[in-house]
Amino acid sequence: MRLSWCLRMPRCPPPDRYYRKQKIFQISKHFGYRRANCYSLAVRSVHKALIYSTSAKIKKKRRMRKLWITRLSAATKEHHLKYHHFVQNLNKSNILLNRKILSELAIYEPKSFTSSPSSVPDDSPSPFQGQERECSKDSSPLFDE
Amino acid sequence: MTSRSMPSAFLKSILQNGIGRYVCQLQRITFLFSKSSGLSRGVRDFIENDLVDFARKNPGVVVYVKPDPNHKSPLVVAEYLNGNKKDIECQSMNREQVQKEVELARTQSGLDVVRLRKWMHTDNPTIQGLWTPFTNKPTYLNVETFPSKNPTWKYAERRPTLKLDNEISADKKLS
Amino acid sequence: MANRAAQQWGTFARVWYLLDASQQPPGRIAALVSPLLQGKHKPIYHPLSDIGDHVVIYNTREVAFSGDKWNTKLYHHHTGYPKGFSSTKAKDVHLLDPTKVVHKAIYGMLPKVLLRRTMMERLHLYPDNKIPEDILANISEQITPPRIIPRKLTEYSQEELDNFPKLWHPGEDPELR
Repeated sequence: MRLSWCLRMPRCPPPDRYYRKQKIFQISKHFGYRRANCYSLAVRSVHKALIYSTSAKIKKKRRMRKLWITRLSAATKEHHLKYHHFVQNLNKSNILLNRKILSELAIYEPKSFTSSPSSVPDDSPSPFQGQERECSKDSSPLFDE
Repeated sequence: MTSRSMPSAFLKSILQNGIGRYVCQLQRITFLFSKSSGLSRGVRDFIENDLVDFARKNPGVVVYVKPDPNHKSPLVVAEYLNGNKKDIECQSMNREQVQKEVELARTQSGLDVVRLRKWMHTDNPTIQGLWTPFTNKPTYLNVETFPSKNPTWKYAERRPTLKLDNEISADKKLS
Repeated sequence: MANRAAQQWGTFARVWYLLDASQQPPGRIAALVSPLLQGKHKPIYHPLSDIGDHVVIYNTREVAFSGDKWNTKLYHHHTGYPKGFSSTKAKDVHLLDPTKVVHKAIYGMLPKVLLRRTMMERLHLYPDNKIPEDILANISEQITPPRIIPRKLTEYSQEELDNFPKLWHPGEDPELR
């Protein structure tokens, strides 16, 4: 047990051993069963947990990008556009917004997402279609070469 | 450190402090030190030289100075408006280091210093209104009776890509 | 600031879709419906949040497998005990329960997660075109069936038949006709 160090006091353990163990126990606090409080078990699972934590940091970035792409493909399909055509259009119009921002736009500012030139297809039935295209060609920096 | 072993919180500020006016969140600061110990020397220097100026500049902060032979290594206790209490150990610090610690304690909000789940926060996430399932739906669906003869919902099947003026089509390139 | 609760109700509102399964292949129905049940057609999609929509499919008795699948396609089952294996032809399954084939196709195309059963709860299957009134009242959109149904010769009007361009006419001889 964690508190058994006081029973061994007469044998004079190294003075910093308690504090060294506390570092491990701080991380293993929320583990289940004896892995939380027994040092020899705790230290093994803590080392493993730290390895998992490091690899998860890399995997998280991959997972988030995958989620943004799923969301974007859902958002673009509402405008009868496939995701890869959408990305193609973005590249053509030289729009440098990343997938995170675009997917957030689709949720929080849906009108802006619609009016971005690449989300609207050429033969869209939208009544504002013609105006938008003209405006964007004249004034928008997106179409400058 | 693993993320679950660290306490975490979302970004917040106390009543948007500092946007209109600023209310110093530090309410009380206590200096516990020894009169004779060498470990307390920096704190003693600070009290001799800077503490009166500090108290004059910050009338909202109550300052206690408690010489105590038990505190050979000195302690500065900062108490905040939200009830939080922070112990700052100033053992073997020189005067400049104590100054920095006190300045930090004065400017802090008193909230716990923890890992932030998100680095940004807004009270108004949307201006145009959040997306709803009905945002991009045609309005005539409101008066449609089902089952209808002309179903509408479809995955994208057209191939509408943008055509720029300077772009040459594939058949032109060939000819 | 807008009313946050109302905003949330709007965003997470569930939509009811209707689909006519007559003359449609079950696999293509499933490919169309499974993203809807998962909520993958919404920009707020997250695999852990339960935001799927309801889908009502009617006329499942009239689904059409291509080829000879009614006879060759087998649905397998194992009870877990020795000699517990059994396989049933699609034809027999369909005779037992006319919604089963579509149900199994969609269930197989959903992700193998704990939410799968919850998503299946939102699928409403009807063997014929008798849909309860209260279900029909919820519906706000109808899905285009995946397959374009070819018209039978009997469904063409006489005028259309006469105007159909022909290379060769059999003439009046009843044997040739």
